[in-house]
Amino acid sequence: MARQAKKAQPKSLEQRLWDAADALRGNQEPSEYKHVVLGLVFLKYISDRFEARRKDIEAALADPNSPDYIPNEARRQTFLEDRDEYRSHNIFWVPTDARWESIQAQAKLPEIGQVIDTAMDLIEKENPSIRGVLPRNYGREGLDKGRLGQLVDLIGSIGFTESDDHGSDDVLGRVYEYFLGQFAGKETGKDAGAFYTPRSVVKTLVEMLEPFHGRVYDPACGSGGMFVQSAEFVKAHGGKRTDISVYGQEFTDTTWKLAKMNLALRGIEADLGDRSADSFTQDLHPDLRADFVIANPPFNVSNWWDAKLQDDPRWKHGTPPSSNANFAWVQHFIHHLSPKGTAGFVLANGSLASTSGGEGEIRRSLIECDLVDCIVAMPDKLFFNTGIPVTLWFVSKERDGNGHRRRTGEVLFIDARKLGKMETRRLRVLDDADIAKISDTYHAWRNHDGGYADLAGFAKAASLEEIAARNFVLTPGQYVGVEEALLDDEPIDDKVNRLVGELKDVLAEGELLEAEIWKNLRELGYDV
Amino acid sequence: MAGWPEVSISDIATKVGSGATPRGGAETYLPERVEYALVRSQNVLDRRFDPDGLAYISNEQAQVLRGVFLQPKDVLLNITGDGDTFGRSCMVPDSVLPACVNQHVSIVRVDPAKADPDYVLAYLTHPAVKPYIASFNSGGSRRAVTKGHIESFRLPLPPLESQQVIGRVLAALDAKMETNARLVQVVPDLIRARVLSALASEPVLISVAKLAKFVNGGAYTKGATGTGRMVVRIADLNSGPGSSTVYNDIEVPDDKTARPGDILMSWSGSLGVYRWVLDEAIVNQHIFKVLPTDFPAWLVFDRLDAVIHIFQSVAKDKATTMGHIQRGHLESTEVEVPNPGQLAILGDELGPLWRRLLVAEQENRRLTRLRDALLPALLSGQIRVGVSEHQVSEAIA
Repeated sequence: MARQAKKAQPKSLEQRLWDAADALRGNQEPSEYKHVVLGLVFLKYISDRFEARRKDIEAALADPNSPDYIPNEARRQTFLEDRDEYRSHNIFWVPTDARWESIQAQAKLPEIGQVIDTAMDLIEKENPSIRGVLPRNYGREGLDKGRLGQLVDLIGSIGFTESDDHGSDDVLGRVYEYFLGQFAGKETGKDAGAFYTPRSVVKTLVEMLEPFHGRVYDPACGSGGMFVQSAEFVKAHGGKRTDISVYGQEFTDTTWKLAKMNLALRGIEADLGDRSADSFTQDLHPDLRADFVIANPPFNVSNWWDAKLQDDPRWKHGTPPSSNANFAWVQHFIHHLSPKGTAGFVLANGSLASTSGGEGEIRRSLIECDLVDCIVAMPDKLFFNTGIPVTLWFVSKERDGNGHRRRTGEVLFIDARKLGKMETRRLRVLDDADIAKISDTYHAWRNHDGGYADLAGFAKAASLEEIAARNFVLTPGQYVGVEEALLDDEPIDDKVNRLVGELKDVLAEGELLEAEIWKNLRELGYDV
Repeated sequence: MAGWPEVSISDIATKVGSGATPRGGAETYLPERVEYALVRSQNVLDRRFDPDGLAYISNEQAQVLRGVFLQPKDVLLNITGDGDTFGRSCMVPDSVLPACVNQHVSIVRVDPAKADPDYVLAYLTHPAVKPYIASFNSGGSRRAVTKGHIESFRLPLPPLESQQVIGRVLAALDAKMETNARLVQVVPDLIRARVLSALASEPVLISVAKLAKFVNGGAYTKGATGTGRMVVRIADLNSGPGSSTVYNDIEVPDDKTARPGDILMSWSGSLGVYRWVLDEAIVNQHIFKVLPTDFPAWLVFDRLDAVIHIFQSVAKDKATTMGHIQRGHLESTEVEVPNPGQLAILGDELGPLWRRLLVAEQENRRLTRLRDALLPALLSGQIRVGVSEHQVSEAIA
């Protein structure tokens, strides 16, 4: 354990920007304000991309050594205005009045709201692929125009880095993602942050599934985090963004728009349908058979049933109860898998053991049809809107071998409930080492000559007989047994580190509360 | 109370109601959370939610209790029970959700547009209100109030902004006490972990008797005057002072006096190791005052705590009505301590931590007193809460 005090981490760019944006929130609810902020980030991004491309064209036209050289100045201008020169590079055409420069110049005017609304209109008119996606209503009465102007200045300050394969998207993309996460944490109420799956969970799914190439589908895609992470994964492993094609669907309209912007920011071409819609009653990709399904559907939805879903071909393993959509999601995923496809998804723990409403029979059928590949019990407090612990399920149609080991008749159980660290009082995160521990175990079991061995308290490959003997209950804790350790199951160094972390949290929180108590007492008129 | 209009709970609540015990009772509770917790009256302390012993139920059982799923900012009130549990009230912490309540706990869900939930909690936990709640009691030895009673409670209602200030002031004090309580839990765990990692290299084996000086208390409850200092008995160690606690004016030697931060160990009945946190008190018989000599207090406490289970099983085997150990057992039982080199390193690190823990315990007593003084004064309007628009703008680092 380090005995010298650690220096405070300097705040990252994203954190500094977030602090500033949050300070300008004023009386806006976080759930509303996110559209204000994220819309501006998007606007800045497409404007930056546009300007960068424009400079490239200009340079090429004016360079006598370039194949595109055009000596005539006036002719050059017409090329600069040729929309195809931009579209061919996957860049949105941004009309003059919608360019960031023009918006920035009017940031201090009382009509800045209308200026932004107009810009959004102009961009959508020019670019059909994002029609109906951009937020409006910046001119509304309740939005303080002084603060909005300052927000424009702030987002205008976000730099421009040439750090990856297409210009400036990197910083703004990261900022967008970071803001999504921060807004998810700020919202209150039952559906708080439902549009955002925390990185711990997304990354674990992606690292386990390894979606290198093929069709990736998420029928409850929220703001698109699964796709962003999948694309990152492909890139990190030396692939290209185009190695995967992305299909998604999202029920909540404002979230669908966030996803469209998020993916455009990352240069990920995706088919999210032409609108937001319910995956059960309005499947926008009815014929899709995906190589990878990756999803975090809403937990335990109780009002999903519609009469027209009776006898739906998706319910091969039994009709799900109208009181809980969990197994409707599972069967929707399976329905959309290609003959060699694998799905990885998040479910509430109830589905591991529930026997109500026919769920027990559905689960049994999935196991007996040899579809269930791996079950991972995750720690609690991974989500913004609920503290409940969840499970990752992997369901696969390639268990009899498809580049991987033949796994017919066995299921891998991983109990990861002890992993992760509390980042705040309410939120736990898994770091890369935690995630690697889970995914390496799965790959060792799944791959040829992976060298897998059961590890008491953490992982166990169970046979169908063992699962049948437990009445088809899939709770990993029942299979992996108890870790063999002398005193307790946590390595002592890990334990010390964990407790030091907790101590740090408690003391820091105590300090904040002390400050608040003094402030309160001063307000009551006590001399403290 | 302060010329504020009076309203009934029914005027400001969107829901008042309690749940039920799932069919099959405690037998059917799950060993760990699947999804829903079941809040029982033991979890509801005054102004504090105690997650100890929280029950977990299956989704099928929870569905039956759909009507009493808890929401953030729900106020909980115990509506049955003996003198201790009855009438206790606290705010539901977000960390316990999703959860429902059994038939002994009622939800009071306040409409935030009409009243502030923290203010309503302050009212329900006002010392004068508990007897008022008890006055609705429908008789019998076991107290109980009904949903109808709760809805008819009358409370003064200052303007919403004032309620929010009152609620916020008290909630901040509660929250600070909660973090102190967590500190008090985490520090011994951390000390234990650090000691165990030090014991991995060349530990020293000593008899427990060498850990410290063990001084037995005296027979001080006889002829007690009822005033003066408290006489600490095993019951007081286990459940805090109560109606049967003895007070005595006598003078006792210094090594039979317990002061905040002292270590006490009961050696009969339920054997345990304790830190004394209350005012100076007199140590009764069957309790050792443990005086550190060659080893620091944090290590003495930790090592005693590590071997107490050995003494507990010795006492159990005694098969008398009151199992106990003898001094000889302290001599014959051995315990590992870190070697002197390790101990010096650990001391720098853990000594201050131990002192910080004692400070947190003392701080909580003072915070409790401050809160108990502020709460009635705020509710009576004796302390005026100036309501002004506070615009707190975060400085950007």
